[in-house]
Amino acid sequence: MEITVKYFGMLADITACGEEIIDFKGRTSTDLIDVLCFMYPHLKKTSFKIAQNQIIIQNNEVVSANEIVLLPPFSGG
Amino acid sequence: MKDKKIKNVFKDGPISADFIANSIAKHQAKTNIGAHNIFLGQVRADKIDGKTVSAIEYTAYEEMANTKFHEIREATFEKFDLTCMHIYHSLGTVKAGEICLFVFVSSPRRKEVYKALEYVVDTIKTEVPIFGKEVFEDETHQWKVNS
Repeated sequence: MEITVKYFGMLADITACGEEIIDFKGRTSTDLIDVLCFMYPHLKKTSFKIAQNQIIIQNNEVVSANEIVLLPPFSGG
Repeated sequence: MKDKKIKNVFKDGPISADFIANSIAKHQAKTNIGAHNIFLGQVRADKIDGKTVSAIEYTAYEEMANTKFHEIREATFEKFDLTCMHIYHSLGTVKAGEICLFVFVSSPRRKEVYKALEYVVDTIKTEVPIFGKEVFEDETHQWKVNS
């Protein structure tokens, strides 16, 4: 399925884009991480979380939303 | 006062002293309040490897961040006896010495506002998807990490 992946903070530096549409053939968040790390090897060295419907999901959770957001460590305040 | 509507916490650029002063002045009408407590986050001119931070550029996953701020508000009203609370966070460029976070809690009594303010600020730092890019005087940058 086609999903929009959004990148924030240092992740957008790595991918050189704020968002993109990818054709995702996997099922879980772990599958998605594999795809994205293949596209952008520098992501492997970076800490990030994945949000779907504004909720952070864990490894091996099913990706069901058509928009996924990658979040680096938070640094507000 | 609980408010179910999700507010926009973000302001473009720094939070001015006038804005903070006006916010305090507005509370003079609420005479059941006996204690206010205010946290102001200020951008620090950190020196890192011989370079000095001149500003922080803030971005956020705004929809989720505003939802998180709302949840923090709700949780804070549950935990503490507060009359009202206000949170503002900057987006975009905030220069060293300027204010990027303004948290304002009010209660009939002082003990509640000390505890509530610490809870709110600590929770914002860990739970809200906001990202700070530390820009140096030579225009290079690094991404801020909360300690």
